[in-house]
Amino acid sequence: MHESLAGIAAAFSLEMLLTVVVGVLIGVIVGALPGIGPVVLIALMLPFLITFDPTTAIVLCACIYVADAYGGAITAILINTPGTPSAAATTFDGYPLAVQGKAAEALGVAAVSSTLGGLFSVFVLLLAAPLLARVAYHFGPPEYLALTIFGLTMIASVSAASPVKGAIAGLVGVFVATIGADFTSGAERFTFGVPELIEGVGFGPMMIGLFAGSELLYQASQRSVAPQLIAETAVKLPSRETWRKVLPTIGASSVVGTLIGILPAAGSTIASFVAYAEARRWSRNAENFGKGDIRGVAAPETANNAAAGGALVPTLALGIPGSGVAAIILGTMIIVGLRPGPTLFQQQPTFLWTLFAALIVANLVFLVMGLVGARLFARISLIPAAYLWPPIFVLCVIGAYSLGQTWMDVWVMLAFSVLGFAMRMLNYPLAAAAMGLVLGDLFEQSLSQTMILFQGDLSLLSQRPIAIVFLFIAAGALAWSVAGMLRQPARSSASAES
Amino acid sequence: MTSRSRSVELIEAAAILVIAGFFYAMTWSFVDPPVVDERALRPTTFPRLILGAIMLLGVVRALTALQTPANLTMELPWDRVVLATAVLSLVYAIAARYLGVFLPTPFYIVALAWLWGARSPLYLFIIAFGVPLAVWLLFEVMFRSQLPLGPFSG
Repeated sequence: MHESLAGIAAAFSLEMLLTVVVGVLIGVIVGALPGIGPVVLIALMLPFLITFDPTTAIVLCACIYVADAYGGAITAILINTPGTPSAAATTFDGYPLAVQGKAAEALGVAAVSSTLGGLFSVFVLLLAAPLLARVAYHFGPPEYLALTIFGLTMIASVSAASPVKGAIAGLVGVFVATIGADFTSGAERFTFGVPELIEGVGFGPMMIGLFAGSELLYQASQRSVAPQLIAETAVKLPSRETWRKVLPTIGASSVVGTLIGILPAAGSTIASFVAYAEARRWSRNAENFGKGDIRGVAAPETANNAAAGGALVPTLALGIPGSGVAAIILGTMIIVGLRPGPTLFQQQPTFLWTLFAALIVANLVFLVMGLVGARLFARISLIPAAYLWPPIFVLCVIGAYSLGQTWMDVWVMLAFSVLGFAMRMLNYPLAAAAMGLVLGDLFEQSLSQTMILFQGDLSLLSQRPIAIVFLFIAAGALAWSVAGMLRQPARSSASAES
Repeated sequence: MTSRSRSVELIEAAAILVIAGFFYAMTWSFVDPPVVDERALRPTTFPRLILGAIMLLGVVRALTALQTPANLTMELPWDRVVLATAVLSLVYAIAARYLGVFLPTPFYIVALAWLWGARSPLYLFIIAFGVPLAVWLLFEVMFRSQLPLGPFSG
């Protein structure tokens, strides 16, 4: 009990409040800038985060994560360009509302919906994560093996481009995790005789290259697209009539978003689209969606923020990332010395309560920031890419170097920039590769330990009910994906993959 | 234009098979240490499992590609500016390695911004010199991280 009070009190210290405000501000600004998502930002911040106190570092990352989803809504509504993929669904009705002169109302509903969705998921996180951790405390290597298989299967199943591409991307991440000295025997694997690779590929340089470096090349191909601001307007809080209209949608989308966020690999983007589709499906005036229905803003904005908190549930409790952003937060936690999983809840309860309280404060802070500063954030998003991205790449090079003070990390970053760009060109999900990298070590270690435990006979997994449940769900998800692929109609020349 | 193309998908599948096959073959070069526990995974087992799965999925991609109509074409987001961006960024990283980060940075920023269409002398000046200043303040002053200075170190 005293740890929870100590943790909550720490969240309200001057230092932590400043961290929350800075994290939210950066998150909203970055969310408003297309191409720079929380993953890119956190990857670039890694050289700084390792110098911070671990609690401050993770609270900063988490606040960026929850605020970023709202930042994307500002440009989605005012410029018809989602600042983040999770705000793409917000453009469907947000931009038409802006064109109709109702941008203030749309921004107000987006801000309030995001806050309520975020708060709901933090309370679920507060309740569910400790419970899940308590169950996970009894997990052994077989359960972790099944869990990583489940996580990797989900990566493939929820991949928007294609399950096969999602699976390949995830497995590439797992493969990269094998580079370096084998943890059991010390045998060098795929090091090409380079001493710096004996400890493996750095998580930071890989993330910086995969997301930020590849984005530089992608932005080079998009430089001719110039956004235009449809309206400059203050933000209006919802009227009583609007509240009546959107409240049921917010309630339902909070649940949808949180549950989807809890699923490994699903993330905010899927949550926002599912919530939008459900809001439309259950509406009596579905034909209004896509033309400026305010519920079309409330649903995705609630869900994408709810998914952020939901994604932290498996991340903290099991060490399995709930989304691509959660994967980099998980990696950052490991770098700063916090090992997610059941032992975190036993050994670091104060840190967890500080994080939970800080997230609640963060959701309220970005509500205020959104109401006050939406116009400014919209203006920031109009900074031309030609002035924005060269400095960002400079930070990529310097950041990659300063992580380990070795130029090998810079070459690794460059290599993954090219790989990441190739993956983008061919519609391979980068987040899947990041999650595979994070899960790779756990996968191999749990498989090895399970083999030792079962004397090499994996059929004994059938004696572990929790493992069987995870494997059953994984098999079901895989079967569903394969069935979906087989059901796909013959390709037409007019179809485009999302 | 679509996001599908048989030739692109076949090249993609071939690349997956070749690269994964290369690394799979590399596993035969691992120095095999003495076996401590027969039940544990050998250092080659897990990589081969993963690479084998990737190759299998590569075959699936190839089969999928063969089902793609031959008349579909795909426009890849790739042009001379993208290539020039990649080359310029590589040159910058190499220059930073030997000359330190502060000397080549203004040139890189101006060159890349110019390549992408920036033409405002004022803004170019601001970012060309503002960024190295910000980097110095952040890394050297605030976080006391030692940045490479090339011939100007020591």
